[in-house]
Amino acid sequence: MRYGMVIDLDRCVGCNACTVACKAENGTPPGIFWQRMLLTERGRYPFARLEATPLPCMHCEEAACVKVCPTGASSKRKDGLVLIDADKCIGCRYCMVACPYGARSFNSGARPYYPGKGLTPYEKVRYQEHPAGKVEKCTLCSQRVDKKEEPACVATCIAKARFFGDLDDPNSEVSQLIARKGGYQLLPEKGTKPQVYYVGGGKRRWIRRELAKASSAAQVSLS
Amino acid sequence: MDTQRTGQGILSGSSLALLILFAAGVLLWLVLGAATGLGETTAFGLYVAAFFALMAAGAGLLIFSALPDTLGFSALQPLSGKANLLALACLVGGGLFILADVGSPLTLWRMLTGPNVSSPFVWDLLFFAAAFVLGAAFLPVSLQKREAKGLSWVLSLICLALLVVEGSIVATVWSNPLFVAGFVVTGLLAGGALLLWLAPTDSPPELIRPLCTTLASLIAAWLFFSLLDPLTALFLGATEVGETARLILAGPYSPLFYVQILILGVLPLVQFARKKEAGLTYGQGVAAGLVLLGVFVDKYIVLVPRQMNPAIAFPSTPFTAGPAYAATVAEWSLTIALLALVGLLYTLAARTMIREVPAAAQLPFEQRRVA
Repeated sequence: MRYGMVIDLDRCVGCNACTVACKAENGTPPGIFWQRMLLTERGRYPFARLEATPLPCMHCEEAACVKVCPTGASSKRKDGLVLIDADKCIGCRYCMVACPYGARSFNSGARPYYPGKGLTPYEKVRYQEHPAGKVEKCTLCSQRVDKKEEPACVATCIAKARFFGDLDDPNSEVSQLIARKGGYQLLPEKGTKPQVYYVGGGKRRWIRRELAKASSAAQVSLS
Repeated sequence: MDTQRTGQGILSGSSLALLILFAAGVLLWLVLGAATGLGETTAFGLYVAAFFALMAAGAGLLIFSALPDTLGFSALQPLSGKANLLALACLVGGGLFILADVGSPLTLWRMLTGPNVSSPFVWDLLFFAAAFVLGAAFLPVSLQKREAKGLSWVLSLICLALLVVEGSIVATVWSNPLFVAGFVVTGLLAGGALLLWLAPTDSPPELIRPLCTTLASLIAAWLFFSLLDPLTALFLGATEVGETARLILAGPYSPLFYVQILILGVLPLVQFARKKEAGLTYGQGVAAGLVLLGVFVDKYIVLVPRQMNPAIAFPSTPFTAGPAYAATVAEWSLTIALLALVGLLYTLAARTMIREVPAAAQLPFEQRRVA
């Protein structure tokens, strides 16, 4: 069993429904996005267009974050999910330095969505899941996966651009898609072997450059 | 810094001054909110830079203190004990900077009790601990000027490994393996410069001349490693790496780069490369001070986000056109306090330990064996 995801970039319309579903499911504070959307302008007027690339955590087989974590707070489950144990995390952010995909965020403290109004009752409850001074990231909705449900971003995708399943099962939908449509991973030269595959999108080679500033770019585009 | 020549009164005065500086710094830090590193938005800040600088100095000094045994540099023997003591004080100071960075002893305890052996941070801590323990074990040997070839070799190799591990952490961030060599060189530079400060002004030329030649060679090596990468990257043209090189050499970040080249490279190199017949000169002492300042600046600009290279994506740091982090007054006050503590620890230890060495032990090892 090795859970993974396939994102069809030809189907993705960049609507950010996945981003919002992720926030609703996981109750992340302002400025923290477990699911980010990289929006990049390509071409020149009058042929310019905006390309959207969803960026969840890649749940890599050879996860750089797991290797560098000094306390073992980042670990890989037997089913392939890379998770963070908040009790063990000391907030050193070495994992954030190591992750080539910028998938991790540091929670510097509870901030309200409505500045000056304090935390809403909803925020007070949900922020208990997000302790300050810790690093956090996409869990592929492990709480849903454990109940045999799809991650929230997959369940909510309007364009049906996201697929979730077992990469070790050659008959699963994700394996079939990768085989049929030539699935590829981001930054394969890093040797991290991501478990999130992309299909379509013309194998966006420019993404390597954009990923360097992905965290700020994606957050600016969403704020 | 010359404890044997300064006398009891001056030593007490300098200890008192360092104690006052330490107390004032800690007090100001507490009043200003007791800022810790990991609690801040920027993960790698002044405390981490100071930690790496003290690790470099400590490891470098230990390698120099073992040189009489490892490479037979007997002229260094009279300074070996002092170098060992100062190295241990530097390592204690480095440990305190880590504590200031992580914010609580409990967090540090978690790192020590639940280590992930694949993490370079853990290897850094392990080699740091090993260097401290071996340095402490080597202390009686260096103070009594005894011979311990095996221990001195193990100590030197562990210190070298500590510098390599720390260099590899930064090399990962910068995607540049040259930083490993750079960290080894700056460690030896910091150790050599401190050794020059520890030497009495009437030191024999047999000690000062090879020490200055070594420092000049190390500076030349550091200049080579520092200039090689940006200069060769310029030939890559309009690529990301080429653009980064241009920003370092002629962009908004270049002043820091050239300040570093000047104070850690050109100025001390000119001073150390001069041929001198007499003992230690004032100019050489100043050059050693510049080297120490340069090593600190070197650690600061390669570790703290976007002090030199805007292309490096450090965590939690917004993309900005200029340096994204400036250390607060609280951070500076604690840094100065802990550096004063390093000096205080050394002066107190040197006062109590070095003066108790019996005169017979000052004889060269071979003569004592004959006696």
